Order: sequence, then C-alpha cells, then structure tokens
Amino acid sequence: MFQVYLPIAEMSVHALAIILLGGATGVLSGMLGVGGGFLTTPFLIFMGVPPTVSVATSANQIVAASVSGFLNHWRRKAVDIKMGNYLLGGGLVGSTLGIQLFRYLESLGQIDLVISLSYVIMLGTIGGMMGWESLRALMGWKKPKPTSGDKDATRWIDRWPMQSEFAASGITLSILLPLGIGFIIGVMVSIMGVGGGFFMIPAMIYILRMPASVVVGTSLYQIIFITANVTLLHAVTTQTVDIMLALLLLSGSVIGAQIGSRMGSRVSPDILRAIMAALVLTVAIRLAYDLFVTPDDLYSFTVEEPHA
Amino acid sequence: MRKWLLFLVMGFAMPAHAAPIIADISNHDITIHTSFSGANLMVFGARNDPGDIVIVIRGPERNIMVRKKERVMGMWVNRFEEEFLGQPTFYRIASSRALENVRQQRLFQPLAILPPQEPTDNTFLTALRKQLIENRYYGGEVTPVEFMGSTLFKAEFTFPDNMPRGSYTAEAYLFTDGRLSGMQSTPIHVYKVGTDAALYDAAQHHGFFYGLFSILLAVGFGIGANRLFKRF
Repeated sequence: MFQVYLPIAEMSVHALAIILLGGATGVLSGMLGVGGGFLTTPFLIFMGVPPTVSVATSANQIVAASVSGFLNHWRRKAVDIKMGNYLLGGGLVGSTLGIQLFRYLESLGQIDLVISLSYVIMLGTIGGMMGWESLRALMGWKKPKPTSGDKDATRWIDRWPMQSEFAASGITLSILLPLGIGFIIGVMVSIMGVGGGFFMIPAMIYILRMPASVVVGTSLYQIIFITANVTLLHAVTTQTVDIMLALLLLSGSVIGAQIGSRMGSRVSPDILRAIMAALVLTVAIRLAYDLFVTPDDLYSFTVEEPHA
Repeated sequence: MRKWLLFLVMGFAMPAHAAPIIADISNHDITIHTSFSGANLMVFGARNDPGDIVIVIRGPERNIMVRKKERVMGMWVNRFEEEFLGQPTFYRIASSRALENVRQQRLFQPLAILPPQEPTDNTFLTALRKQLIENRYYGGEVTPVEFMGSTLFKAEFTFPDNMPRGSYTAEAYLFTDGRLSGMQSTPIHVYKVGTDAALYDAAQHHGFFYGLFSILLAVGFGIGANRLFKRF
C-alpha cells in the first residue's frame, strides 16, 4: 500500500520502513547527539538498496542532521570556527580523493567489500569500546587511572611546524594536525556515507586536546560541509543520490529526533550507551557474517549503463 | 545475423495466403511512476497456419559484468570476472506447447530464443542467467499461450517493478512442422513518467544542480527540524 518507487535506486520500497529507519536514527541522534549515518547505510543495504546509493544518500541525510544540531551549538557560541575551517580544508581534499577511490574500487568490483569491511572495523571498535564503558559504569567498576601522564606534557606532535593559536579553544598547535585529521575523516565519509563524528570527536579530545564545550559544535560545523561536498560529488560522478529516499529518511529523522531528545532526558545515559553498544555490535556482527560465511551464490553481476 | 535469418525464413514462408501469424500487444507503453509496482501485458493474435506459437519479450541490450567470489583470508572477495556484451536485460518466453516439443535447436539458437534455465557451456553465463531469473529480469518459467478456437491466441505476462527502462520487442513466432513459418515483432516502450522521470533525468544529465538541490533540501529540513526542537 505504501510502496514508493525510488527513481535512482530503481526499486520500490515500503515508504513506512524507510521512514521508520530515518525515525530510528533520528531518535538516536536526539538522544545521544550522534548523526546516525553509521546505522542508516548498513540498514539500507540490508533492505536491498544498492550500497552505492545507500552511501551517497546517507551523506545527504547527514547534512540535515548536522545543520539541525549545529544551530543549537552556534547559538551557544560553542563552535571553534577557525579549527573547523582547518579540519574542513583537510576534509574537502580527503573527501574529493575519497570519491575517486570510491569510483576506482567500484570499477574493480570491490566497493561493496570495502564498504562492508570499513563498517565491520568501525562499528566493531566503537561498539566494543562503548559496550565496555557502559558495562563498567552499570556494574560500578572503578575507572582505571589514566597512565599517559598529565595533560600538559609535550608530545612529539606539539613540535610540528606551522604552529597557530586557536582562540576559541584556547590552544596552540600545528595547523597540519587538523588538516591531517580532516583529510583522513574526509576519505572515510565519502566511502562509508557517515558524518565521521564518531572519529572526529575522540580525535578532537585526545589528539587536538580541544575543550569538550566546543568539540561537538565544531565537529558538526565541518561535517555539514564535508557531507555536502560528498553529496555533490556523488551526484556529479556516480549519480547515486536518491532524493526520494533522502526525503523519506529526512521525514522520519525529523520526527525521531524530537522523540529522541525527550526520551534522552528520562533514561540514564549508561543504559542509553549500553543499548547503543548492543545495536552497533549487532550491525557489525551481521555485516561480518555476510563477509565470512559462504554466500549462496558466488557470482554477482553488474549491468553497465551506456554512457550518454 | 538474427534479423537476416528471419528475413530469409519469412521470405520463403510468406506468400501462400495472408500473413501466417498476426500479433499485437495490449499496451505498447509501460510507464514507471512513483507508485509503480509492476505491469500486466497481453500478447494476442491469430495464426493462419496450424503450428506452435512461441512468444519472446526482449528488453534492451546491455554489457553485463559477471564476477565470481573466492575466499581470501577467510573473506569472500570478487576475484574473477567476465564481461558479456549485448545481453538482453529482460527476457520472457511463452509457448503453446512444452518447448522441448516445439523445439528445433537449430532455429532456437539463431533466433536467440532462450529456454529458461538452460545450462550453457560457460559457467559465468549460466550463473548470470540464473541470477537474472532470481532478480525477475528473466522469466523462470514458460508462460502458456492459450488458444480460443484454432486461430486466436493470447498470452498474459506479468512484469515486475524492477523492469529496466528502454525499448523492448515482443516477437511472436509460428513453428509449423519444425520450421519457422511466420513471425511478427512489435515494440514496447518502458519509460519513467512524472516526477520519477524528471528526477532520473536531472540526476543523469544535471548532476551538479541535482546535487545542489539535494543539499538545499537537506539544509532546509535541518533548519526546520531545529525550529521545531526549540519549541520543546
């Protein structure tokens, strides 16, 4: 009854299933402040949407989620624009190269493998870490003492050239650092269709040592432009952005985010994190299973569209 | 090659009386729109000679790359590939009698009549045909051709929602005593209409503006969602 034909994926899907998926990622982003792209892409793939369309369309959806979140932080002046711009500079180069890599892997027939493998590694690591932390919190175990010395110790990366002061964060460091981090995450965004907040935030805290107050806002600021760049590049080179699919996902995530933000204030953060960890690990295991278990059919085919 | 042969065969077969077989279809245009979930199509006609009728529906031809996975470090990875040029992307076959009984191998092959699930001597091609059937691009079974009286016939086809766009042909063959006594071909056009056609065209030919529009849409949704949030 609610079948909708997706013009780019060239298949018909249950509109409600897609809206629910958007809603579920919206709930997560409202509750936990993450983009949810890392769940949208694998679930779209499970539903039979081609991986390339899933990646490109998820990137488009993340633009919306990050604009929405960014505005909240912007109002509170919790954004380090200068740092954001350097991350962005690296990110734009990284995502542009990432798209080339994506096309190259696609022509080799290896893109699906690379997408799945990246997800298994990323979700497995993050899910494992989150699961461990929430388990420790729920069980009341003691947090081990940090062993890496005090926060002001000089590290080898602090001696890199091109030092610059970042007033909003109150730190001085080499501009090569945010450029490099932005670059690596930019490559991942274009291949995996994620915002990269999951990597960006720990990198900002542990490598750049930015104050926690500006981390999320700054991350969202640059994610908007990176995902917008990825959307545009996919639209131009691979033609895999499905606007109908994006529209369904967006409608769901707008509603979901409202529900999520209200639920978030009522449920303990440790339980939230445990639920999230379980979800993330389940997706990682399911993707890994598909990689390692003998497929029903060893053959696959790709129809080559004539180039107009 | 195939057309040539047809021309020859028909040249010998035609003159006796009126065309040995006349066929048409219920609908020459199949339009794909937002709520498209497949289509039904009837091929009907009349035969003026006794014999078996075989109807073939062929979709647009494309080059198809077939890849085979092999285990590498425990993971299944695409390792081998073979490309097949000019393969029909859609295929349906109907017959008034079991194909084995109609069949004249020497005619089926030059006419590119492919009985479903017929193994080939190439494992990649056999695998491709099997997958095309699984994905509903090729029919897994032979659709019956029904007769009303001794001259009128019809066959009803059901097409899936994922049928490729492009130019199709419906070909009706009349086999009499193991030879081809007549044939008629009719075109079918499968195309997108309305929003879907516009979106698909935009994505294919105006990627930059399509991408820009997608981004603006997302930004608009983001700002809208943020406004909604503020009220709670």
